[in-house]
Amino acid sequence: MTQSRREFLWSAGAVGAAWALVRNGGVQWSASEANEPEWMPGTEARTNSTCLLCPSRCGIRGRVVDGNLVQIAGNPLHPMSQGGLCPRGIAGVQMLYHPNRLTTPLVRDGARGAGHWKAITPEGAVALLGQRLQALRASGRPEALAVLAGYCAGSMEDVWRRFMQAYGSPNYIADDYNDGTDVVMDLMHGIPRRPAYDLEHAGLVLSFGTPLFEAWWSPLQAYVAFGGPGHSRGEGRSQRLGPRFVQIDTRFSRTAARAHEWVGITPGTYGTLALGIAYVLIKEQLIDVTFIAEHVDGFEDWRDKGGDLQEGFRSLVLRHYRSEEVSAVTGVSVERIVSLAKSMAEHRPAVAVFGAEVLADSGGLFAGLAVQSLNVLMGNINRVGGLLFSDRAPVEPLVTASLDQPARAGLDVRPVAATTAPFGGGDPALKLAQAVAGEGGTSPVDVLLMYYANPLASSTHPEVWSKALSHVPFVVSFSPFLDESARHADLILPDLLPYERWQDAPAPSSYPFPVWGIAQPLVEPRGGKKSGMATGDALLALAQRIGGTVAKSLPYTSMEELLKSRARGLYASGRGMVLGSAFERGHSRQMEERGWWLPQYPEFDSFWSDLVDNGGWADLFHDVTDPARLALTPSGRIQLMPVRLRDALAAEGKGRTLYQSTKSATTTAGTQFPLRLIPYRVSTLASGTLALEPWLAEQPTVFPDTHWVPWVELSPKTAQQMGLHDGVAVWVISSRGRYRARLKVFPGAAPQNVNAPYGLAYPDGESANPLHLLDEAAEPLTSVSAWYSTFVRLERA
Amino acid sequence: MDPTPSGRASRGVASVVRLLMLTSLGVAPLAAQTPSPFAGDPTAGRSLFLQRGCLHCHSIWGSGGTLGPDLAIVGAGRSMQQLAGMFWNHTPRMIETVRRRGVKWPTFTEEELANLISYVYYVKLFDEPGDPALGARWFREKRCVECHSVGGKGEKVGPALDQYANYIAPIMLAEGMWNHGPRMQYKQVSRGVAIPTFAGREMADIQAYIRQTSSLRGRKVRFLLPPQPAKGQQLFGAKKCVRCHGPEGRGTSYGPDLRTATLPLRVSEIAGVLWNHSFQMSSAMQARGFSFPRFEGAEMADVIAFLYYVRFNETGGNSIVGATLFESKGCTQCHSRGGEKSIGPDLSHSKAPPTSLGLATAMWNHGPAMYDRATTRKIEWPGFEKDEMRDLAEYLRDLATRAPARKAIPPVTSPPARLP
Repeated sequence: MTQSRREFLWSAGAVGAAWALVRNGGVQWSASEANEPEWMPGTEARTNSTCLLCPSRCGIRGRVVDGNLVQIAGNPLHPMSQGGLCPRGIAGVQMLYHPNRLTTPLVRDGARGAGHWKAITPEGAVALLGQRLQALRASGRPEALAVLAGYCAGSMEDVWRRFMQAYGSPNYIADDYNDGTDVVMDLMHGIPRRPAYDLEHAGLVLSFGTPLFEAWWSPLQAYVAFGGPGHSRGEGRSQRLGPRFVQIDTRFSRTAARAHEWVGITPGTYGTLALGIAYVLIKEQLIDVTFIAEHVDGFEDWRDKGGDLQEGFRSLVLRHYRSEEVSAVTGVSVERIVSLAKSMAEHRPAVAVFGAEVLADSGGLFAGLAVQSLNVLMGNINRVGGLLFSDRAPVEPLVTASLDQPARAGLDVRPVAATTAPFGGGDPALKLAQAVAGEGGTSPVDVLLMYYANPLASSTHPEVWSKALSHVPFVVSFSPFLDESARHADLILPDLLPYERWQDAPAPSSYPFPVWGIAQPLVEPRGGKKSGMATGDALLALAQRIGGTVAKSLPYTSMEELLKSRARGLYASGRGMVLGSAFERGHSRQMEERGWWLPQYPEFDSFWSDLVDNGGWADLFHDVTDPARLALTPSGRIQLMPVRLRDALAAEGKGRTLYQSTKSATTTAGTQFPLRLIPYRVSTLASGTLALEPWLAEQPTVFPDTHWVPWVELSPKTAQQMGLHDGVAVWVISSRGRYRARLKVFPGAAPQNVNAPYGLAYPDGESANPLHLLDEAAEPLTSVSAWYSTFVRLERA
Repeated sequence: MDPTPSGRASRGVASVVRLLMLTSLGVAPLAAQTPSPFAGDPTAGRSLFLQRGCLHCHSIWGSGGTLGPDLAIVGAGRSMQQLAGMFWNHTPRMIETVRRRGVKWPTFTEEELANLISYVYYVKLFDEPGDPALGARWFREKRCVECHSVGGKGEKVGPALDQYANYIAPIMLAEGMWNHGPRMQYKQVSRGVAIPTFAGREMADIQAYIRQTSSLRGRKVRFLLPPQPAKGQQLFGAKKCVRCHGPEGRGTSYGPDLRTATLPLRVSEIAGVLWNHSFQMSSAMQARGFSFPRFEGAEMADVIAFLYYVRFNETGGNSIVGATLFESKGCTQCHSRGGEKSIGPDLSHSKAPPTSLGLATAMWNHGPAMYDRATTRKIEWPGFEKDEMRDLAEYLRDLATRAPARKAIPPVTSPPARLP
């Protein structure tokens, strides 16, 4: 027998260790247990699924050992996330096993909000809610049922809406990151949808404050676009380095740190800067003249029906947005404005990206239109590397709804949260709260169901919501955690976590291609199969319990069955593919670009099986030649000077004209409150309800290097002037209230601003929510709450 | 694939059954006399391309590795035998690369290699989208605009073409033109308008122009299923094309050999060729009392795929040229032909040579061993261009036929069952 040096060393070490054990006595090695005959190695499995923790809906791959989820990684087959995953997705493991998680339904046992609960079975909870809803319907007031639902695009939203329709209530209220971009698209293009951005193929991405790498629709989309597997350091011919990226922002954010160029700007002046850039583009003849001639109205002056000359976009911009004036308002130098415009022309296709940071402000609608005008001027609509209106996945519709007389009568009643804003849906959650909290009458809502909604934390008007909740006779929460709003519920029917339930997961609106991700159970429900129930399954069971046309409208026994039936639409669509490797994605896309589609499966069951195994379905083709994707206005042309908006302004009779209020910041500091509050979402804690996992608390934002406690950021210059230093506790005070935070002296903060992350809380529950300090201003045309018009002062705590 | 003799025997039986089926379906008896033009299953080839790791170095249409060439580009316009030759020529560099990377040399059965080559051959069939700007020019210069409108621009003598915006591939446009060809051409002649002809990608360009300019609202792109050459062969018979062009498109005294026109072309290009001759064809058919064939659905694409595959499996190599090649390429330095002792196997008794694909498979699988021997003995690696591989195979087949007691492997003759 021969023995290698390595083998010798190993056996010598093992003998030494064994001798030490014998000498010490009583110590049991796990290795010795492994040698026992009854010991069996654990079973390990990796299963693809979809993350549901934010709207991005990235592909995930769960590693399960002996029935325990031990790791969540990215699914490389997912076309948008391509194997990447953000810290929040990775930390889902800690959410699943969090000690504060609710694993069984709870019914209030004592006064509301007192914190006394009694555990019941899921069936018991469904029965309890079913009785309540049956009684409400029998009383002839089905419309008194309201649902406040967070972001749940896909079949969950469809099931909720169908349930409400069949039940007879028009009060499905979506509280789902309404950023107002749909209003801009509606006014300019006649297409009331949030746009998608083909970041990956853009030559230049000009972001107007959009937190692409933080709490955007899909940070992973941005990561892939700017540095994903398709890009390299120049190794191969088919690889590229990604688009040039310019971040215009009021703070030196994490996103700004990743950009090629950061342009600091005065808050509330994004629109002015956009029109300043438009000025240079027009003046220097850098616009897409052909595109404008063929597809755009309102660029040149025109005469109206009465023969009066109307000012077109070109004249308006050339007259009012000279570079020097724009520079004075925005704080961006003239040279930089000119350079940005030339950069757009040099790096075609250049796409301007914007969202709530532009629109959630006084004058935000004009600012949004101004930014979008850049995409129009560059002809970068429905083009590769441009702004697109994406398709939805062609899933099979739900069965046709059956409506009985009570349902029809209930649906005819005016919705509680009907908007009064001239454009868009406004802030329906606030409308609901105001209607319910109103003095002197009966609450129009008898039963309120809260699904992924925590208005006491997320609303800018928590006091209204607090009152509203106290007015509703029966409040139900589906939160898997005892969050601020769930504490005021009468019944909590906690949803299972995404790793325990079936759900579909369409890619967010920002992604140009339809992706139908599928989330499937990776592990059994935490408390056992009998203890919890996914909300989708609970709704289907509730429909059956109510019976009649409600049951007929949702005749599915489970979400799994419902999703499988919907997938038949994908199978029959004659397009797209089950998620596959980069090569398969490329091949499928290129075949479709050539007009051919590759059938992969001879029958549905094998298609469904592979779809579940691989994590979903996608179609990576987008029709860039379809003129209907440019505009669906009556003229079929894009309106740079939207007719409906001009009419509305004329009807106002206040003499306001289009784009005028982009000209200056709408609010100014006073002596009592000298600093502007800039709330922002932290990527890992975007919704404000997930400050639960240690991994996330440890690194909510790597950039300012502050962890575990709520903080605010102040520039070194301002801190010095105020006599404050890094790390001191301060009160952040506005006219509406105050909260305590640790001061972070941060060079990335502008001297006149206080940057305040949203979504943080103290371990003992003390609130630190900057949204609760906001003044009650709103964008007058859309009613979207204004986030950037509040001024505060800091005091040492 | 089952590599055992019994497996091969069962495939042989299956081939016979398929042949019988084709005959019973009315494909002319001549089909039984020559190998089917489409050896290999491109779908299976696509799977092999992924599974055997080809994509780590090679790409198709730019998707895949970048170390080796894009096979959809370098493989364009080559028959199966030429592709096999190309694979072979590339062997030394590939051996060095895979060894450097510690990757195992991929080996293939004859059927697998047929599938892989079929895939590389097949993808070339699909056109890239045309250029709408050029399409606008062709539409004007070929005077289509004098009869047809798109997006409201053009005359209304013929139907508006906006509806074709639902398609990306130009085949439906080509099929529409074909079906209305005689009537359209009669009108053109009567109006003194020259019948337009199409070359290169002009038809694809016009299709792109229609898509960009069409005023069709609520359009929904309709993708076509990949054309099936086996179905195309049936249609070629059923539409009576065989009466003039023969069962495999090799021509008769009435119609030309279609092979010459199809090999380097893609769908739209072949469609253009068909259109260019359709007026002459319809006149000739009229003279013979035949009705002009019309196509439904995407039948024309299937026929075009059949025509495309006509030259895939070239037969009829030149044994004499092959013998010369055997000498000139230095094969004799390692292989004997008559039982003499040699470094490599005696190819007159090899199981591989009966088909050119069998030869290619054997050469590929033994590539590393051959390469090592050649390197040691400082023998230059022989390259095969154009039809040299076919001629060499023919020569070795002759040798094998003359040699006693050898067991032949039946050629792969099955039509592609599934498509990628």
